[in-house]
Amino acid sequence: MAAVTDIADAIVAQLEDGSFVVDFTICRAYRPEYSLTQLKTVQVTVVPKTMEWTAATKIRDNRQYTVDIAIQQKLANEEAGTVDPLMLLAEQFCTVLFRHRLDAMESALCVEIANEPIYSLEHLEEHAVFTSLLTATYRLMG
Amino acid sequence: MSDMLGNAVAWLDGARRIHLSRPVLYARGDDSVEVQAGVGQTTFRLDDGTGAMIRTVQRDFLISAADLILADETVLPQRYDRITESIGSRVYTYEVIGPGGGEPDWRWADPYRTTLRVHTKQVDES
Repeated sequence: MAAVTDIADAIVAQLEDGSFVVDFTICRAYRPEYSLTQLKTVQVTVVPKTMEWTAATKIRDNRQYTVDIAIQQKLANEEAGTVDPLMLLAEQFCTVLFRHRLDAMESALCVEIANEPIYSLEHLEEHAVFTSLLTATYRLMG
Repeated sequence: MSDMLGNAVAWLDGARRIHLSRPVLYARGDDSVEVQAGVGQTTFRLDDGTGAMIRTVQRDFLISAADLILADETVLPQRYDRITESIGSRVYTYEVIGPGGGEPDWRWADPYRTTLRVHTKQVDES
């Protein structure tokens, strides 16, 4: 398999094994697409995004991969008690992944993670859905 | 002089209620009321605003404002209210959610504020 899909699978395994503020279902997908009915519970989707190889020296390469992690749930209301745990879940994912190697792929180190958007206002307004998108950057180390 | 247009709108609302509607359950929290609702536009949308796509069934319901009584009070629709519709053996649940783009969750369907057009999205099916 391609390294980026190996990384995505390893992220799925890492998050499945963790303990977080809310329960969720997680999977890897190429084209995440859900109906509101499917988002009654928290859905996390891991999607391979980019691959970038650069020459660091004459003999060494930098191999960098990015993976998107989407956290989604159809909200029953927009009160803090409903939304706050989902915001915390995104931060917990960052804590678990950032600067850590993946258990299932120890050569992959998370060197950067961004949470943009922290939540999608568009999805909130149009669908009453919380969508938070994390983009994790991994570097393959020796 | 009588308000001919206003009377016509009221007559049309009555005719719609009798001939062009079906019973649905309108609920807010624990309060609910059965009302006759006309079914307006139904559309299917796929939104990919953030790369995470959401597939929705949007449905508009036309409801006489006078029928929308919850806990003994006439009310106006609110976001997250629920409408349950039975078709054959299937039960579909919709939630009051506007179409987006700054559109409200509901609007008046006529200038005399007789009929409500309630925008919803399907959230469950059983």
